[in-house]
Amino acid sequence: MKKFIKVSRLAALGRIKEECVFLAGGTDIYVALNDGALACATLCDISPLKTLDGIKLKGKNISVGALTTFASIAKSAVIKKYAACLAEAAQEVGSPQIRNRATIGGNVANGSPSGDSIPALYVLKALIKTNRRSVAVEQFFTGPKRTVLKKNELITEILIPRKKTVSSFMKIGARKALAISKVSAAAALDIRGGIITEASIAFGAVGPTVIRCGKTGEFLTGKKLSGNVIAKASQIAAGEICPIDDCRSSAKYRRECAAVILTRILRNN
Amino acid sequence: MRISFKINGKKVSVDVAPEARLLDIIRDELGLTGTKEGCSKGECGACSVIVDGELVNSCLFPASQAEGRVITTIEGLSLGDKIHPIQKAFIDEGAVQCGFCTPGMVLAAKVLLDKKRNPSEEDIKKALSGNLCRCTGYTKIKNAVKKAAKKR
Repeated sequence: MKKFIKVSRLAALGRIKEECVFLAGGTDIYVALNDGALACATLCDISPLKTLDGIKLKGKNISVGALTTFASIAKSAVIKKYAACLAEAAQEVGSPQIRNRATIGGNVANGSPSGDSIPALYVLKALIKTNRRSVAVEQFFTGPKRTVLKKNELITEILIPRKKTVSSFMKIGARKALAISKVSAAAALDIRGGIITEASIAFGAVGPTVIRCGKTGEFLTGKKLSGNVIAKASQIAAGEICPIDDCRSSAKYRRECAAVILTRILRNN
Repeated sequence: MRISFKINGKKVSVDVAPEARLLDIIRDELGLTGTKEGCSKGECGACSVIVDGELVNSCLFPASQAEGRVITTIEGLSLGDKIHPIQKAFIDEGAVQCGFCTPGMVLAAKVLLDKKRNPSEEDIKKALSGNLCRCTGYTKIKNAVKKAAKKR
């Protein structure tokens, strides 16, 4: 490691000349450090920025600070009420030890297509705020582990519109805890008088970024959730994703599982 | 950089490299070798310690962030020669084989029992889900946690 900086004020970021790797809970960064990666990096510890930690109602939005841990998100009454799929996803991240330290900002910045919070943020239509701008979550990721973040641009908060949607998250991994998703899915539905007025579906780990299934959403809109509708929607969704074979799973298995977990999510609603 | 924190009830002050891991400070600087290094990736939980009442992987915990914290390692559980009831339950139930995962398991159980007096089977499984054991098959570990819960 080349250099270690600790910042206690957001404004101090602007004065840093060298390109930094930001450090929050360390659950991704220290895995890389332990592996011998980041040997030449300048680490910038942002954990003293306490204003970035916490969940608040902010006008028509819920604000989740970038330094909020998954343990806090999973038990937040506000998140459970307005963004249930995010609470469920937070509960599935890593292990108790990881959830106590891992932050949502880090999960987003890491940009993995299998990041568990990301499909939830897609269906909730979250806005990613940095110290420079706001970016819609769907525009934020440009490829596996690649995002629009520029040099020393820091995610500060995530804004989630406060709506009365029913939402849910589910993932398939090799085991229940400490398993990176083979495939994950989130769905958010607006249901009025039994009819779906808006549907948003997204999958993780089945493409270079998290994928929103627009056609599946359109298909569901205006319909009632019957067995046939759910089966058809799951089939459409399986056609919208583009999974690959890799160390964790095969494309075929991922496609089949994607349909299965969407069916399970929709049946529960 | 110099950091100060409380560990097992004792205030300590140590010089650390800025990127040092809490695990190395605990083992090498403070000589508390009950905390084990397993995978170094946050996947096995052998290095688990309690920081401000919450379980963390010390292999992923920046030592510099330990400033002002209250830390408990496995050495902090016993009172003199008297072992902690959770440790006793692990022995009584035969929940220890090679023993490498045991400190982490016991601390995970402690965090659970500090928060919940009568945990369900599901609570126990979840609380210990970040700790891998490659010997026992978990049944005896679960039984030990149940036994420790009953004795409180």
